[in-house]
Amino acid sequence: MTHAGRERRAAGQPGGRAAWQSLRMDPLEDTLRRLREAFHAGRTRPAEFRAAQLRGLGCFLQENKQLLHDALAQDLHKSAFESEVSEVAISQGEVTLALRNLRAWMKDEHVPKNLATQLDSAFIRKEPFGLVLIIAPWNYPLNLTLVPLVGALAAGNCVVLKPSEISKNVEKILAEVLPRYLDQSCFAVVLGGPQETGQLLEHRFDYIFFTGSPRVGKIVMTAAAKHLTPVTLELGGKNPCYVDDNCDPQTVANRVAWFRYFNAGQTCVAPDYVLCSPEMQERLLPALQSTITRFYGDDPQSSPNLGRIINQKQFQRLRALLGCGRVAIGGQSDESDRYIAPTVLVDVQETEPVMQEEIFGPILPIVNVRSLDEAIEFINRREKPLALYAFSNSSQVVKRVLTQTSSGGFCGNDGFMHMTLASLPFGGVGASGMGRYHGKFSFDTFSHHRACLLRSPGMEKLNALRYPPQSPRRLRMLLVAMEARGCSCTLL
Amino acid sequence: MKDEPRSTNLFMKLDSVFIRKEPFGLVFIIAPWNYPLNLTLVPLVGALAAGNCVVLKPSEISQGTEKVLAEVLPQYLDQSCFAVVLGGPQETGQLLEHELDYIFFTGSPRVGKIVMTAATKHLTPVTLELGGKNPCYVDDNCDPQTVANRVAWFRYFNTGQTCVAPDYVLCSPEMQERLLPALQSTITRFYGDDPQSSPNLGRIINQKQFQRLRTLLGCGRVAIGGQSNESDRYIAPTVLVDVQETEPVMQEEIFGPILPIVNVQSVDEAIEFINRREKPLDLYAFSNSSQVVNQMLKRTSSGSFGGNEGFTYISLPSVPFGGVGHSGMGRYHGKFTFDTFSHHRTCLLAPSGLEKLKEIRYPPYTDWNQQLLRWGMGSQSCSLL
Repeated sequence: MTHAGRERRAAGQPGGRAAWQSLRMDPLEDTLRRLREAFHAGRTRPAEFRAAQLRGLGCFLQENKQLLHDALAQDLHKSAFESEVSEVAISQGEVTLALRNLRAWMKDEHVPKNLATQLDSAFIRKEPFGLVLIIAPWNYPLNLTLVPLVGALAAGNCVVLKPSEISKNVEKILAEVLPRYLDQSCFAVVLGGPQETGQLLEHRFDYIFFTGSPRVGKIVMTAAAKHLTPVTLELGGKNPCYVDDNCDPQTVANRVAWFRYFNAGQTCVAPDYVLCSPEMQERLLPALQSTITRFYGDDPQSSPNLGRIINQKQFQRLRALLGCGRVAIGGQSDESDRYIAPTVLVDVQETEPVMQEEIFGPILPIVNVRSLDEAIEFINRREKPLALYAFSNSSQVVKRVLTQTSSGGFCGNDGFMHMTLASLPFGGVGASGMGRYHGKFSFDTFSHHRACLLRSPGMEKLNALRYPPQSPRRLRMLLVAMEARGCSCTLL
Repeated sequence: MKDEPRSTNLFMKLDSVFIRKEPFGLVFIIAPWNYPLNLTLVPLVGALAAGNCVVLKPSEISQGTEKVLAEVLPQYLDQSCFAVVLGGPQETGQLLEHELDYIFFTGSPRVGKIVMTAATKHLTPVTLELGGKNPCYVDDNCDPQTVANRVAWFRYFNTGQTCVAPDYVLCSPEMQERLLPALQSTITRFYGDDPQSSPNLGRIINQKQFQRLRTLLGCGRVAIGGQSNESDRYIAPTVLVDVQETEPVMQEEIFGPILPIVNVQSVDEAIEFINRREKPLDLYAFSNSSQVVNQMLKRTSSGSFGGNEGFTYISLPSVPFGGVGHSGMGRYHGKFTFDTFSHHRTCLLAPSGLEKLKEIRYPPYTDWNQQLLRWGMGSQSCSLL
């Protein structure tokens, strides 16, 4: 029903405005109720149902690939390469992995027992939570919506999806095309901005999966606390990138630049700023210029391989950051195109905005440090980031950075390739988030692991040992029975 | 503690890829009064093993144990990395305003919400071990004496002050008739004719809880027990019948030696009754038919489940212990505790050279680049994690 239609209907009813307002909420209430009923009816439990949903997701990706590429190009000026590699292929890979492993993941996990439970059946059963809410961001609007969705569906939940309203073109496809591939009694897309999301969060969900900023992460967690709803928060931060004196500047420049300017820098795990000595900076700058020219040509604005900023608000924010420190490379911008050149800033102060907020754009500030110790101390003074990078020919240096810092993930001598491996958990720590997903970790995130112990109803004499009245001798025997493991390995 | 290597794809064969377990930092453990040693030390073991510094807030209600934990325990630990903080709700609230790296809370859902809301301020992850009313379904097809033994033992252990104890029984009126004499027989066997003088029966922790429980004795009709003694904080092992769902004894977690029986006509009605309510920490089903037990397991949700048994699984460190929904989030025991208090950091160490191998991913792009990259990314080794 359109907004106008609702108003017309409400106008003819007593208590006009109040009635209209309750009509606005009704569709959402109905949707949630419908999904809950479907869940309680057990529709999402059988493996066949879940597999069908996953296959539906796979078909959605395959049959609409061009549509999705076009939408990503419209939203973020993503090249076909980036769309394929970081959006479609990753999503498809997760679907395939889940389909292949679904039954294995769903299986009851039998566990080692002690003497007291030798005759029992003891296992962990994976169960869906129920109604799951996934709130997705705009920077990888397909990937960061579908990959959690794969896990939630594989785990047997009903799902409400809230795609980002900022990546409008992908949002449209997710709202209009995706539901056709899924069982709509168990899946719904809800649209809207911060206000609608706030209203959504007042309702009770059994799990909330949020990707976005720490600021909004707190809002989500506060709302979740009201209903004791568990959450996964994939947040962000400023990801430090330490570049040691002992390295090849061109190699480092290639790797850092690729990960920084990918998706025009709008990546939660991109290197946010570089920490290096002034001497290293002197060697790095020409190498970075060389890399940028190689990647994007002499006129990056005309390169098909460089993305654009998602909207005016982000563009203006980034343009203001160009005024920090001194522009060493790039610095051009074009408002009508939402274009920001691949930029490197130097002489940057820690107090300037570019070193205070997550950049989320194609701007790379370099901050000078005199030593590895100073770099580590700089990093540890700040919030724990989502990712941390260290470049050095010396594996000792890399390992020192790893050992003496904390972050969601860590890469030595490379960027966020670890994100492409479904065998690795992806998540933050501290202000960069809580919880993790990808591959089986997604399935586990969206499952309740229920401990089960099934005993025989007979053989009651065996239980006599534990019943009062007690004696020291019986206590000793009971302790032995509780402690001794059969012949199982203690390594879980 | 060991790094866990992980499988890679074709492009990362030369990389070292692993998960490193790291401590969160400063961990806050808030412990309850009912198992004041167990529910303080078992989380503490995990927090210490995972390499964290720990602030412990034992319950001020279990005063005797609190004293030992505050005065004796620190002598055995490195006090630069461990501290005990004492106090009640106000002091706990003040502590929660500080920035902590992990909060582990055992207690009621009401306070769990307060803890989680406080944790939000600093985006602190939490484990909440809460409670609820644990249903205990007793099928017509069972041996009443066996069931009575098992249910009674788990109900009256620690005078019922156990978060995982069977909270109420669901059975048919016919089963109730058979169960009552069996329960009386069990209670006499366990605690003698005068349970108040049995050394095997506990007492209620304090006056406040005692008064609360004494009021619950007024619900329904006392079928067994019902005696109480204020000076001793003693409540007899009690069974209530003719209980209405709206009465207090069926509204709040009992946490005492009182077992109400609610009648249902069938397994379906029992399941529907259970699913109308908050997800409990535990759920029990007694039946000679494994089909019935499995029905209960499949069609309900709870932290854990016991078929023809009570909370014995707690003695198994190989199973995770935790709630779901209002009964909690997160889990622990054994390795699960270590994992709870560790951040699992994904690590990839690439060689600093061999840049030529990385070239394929750099722009400008060709179709060939794309295809090769796609193929390489898709080629993960063993997909079974």
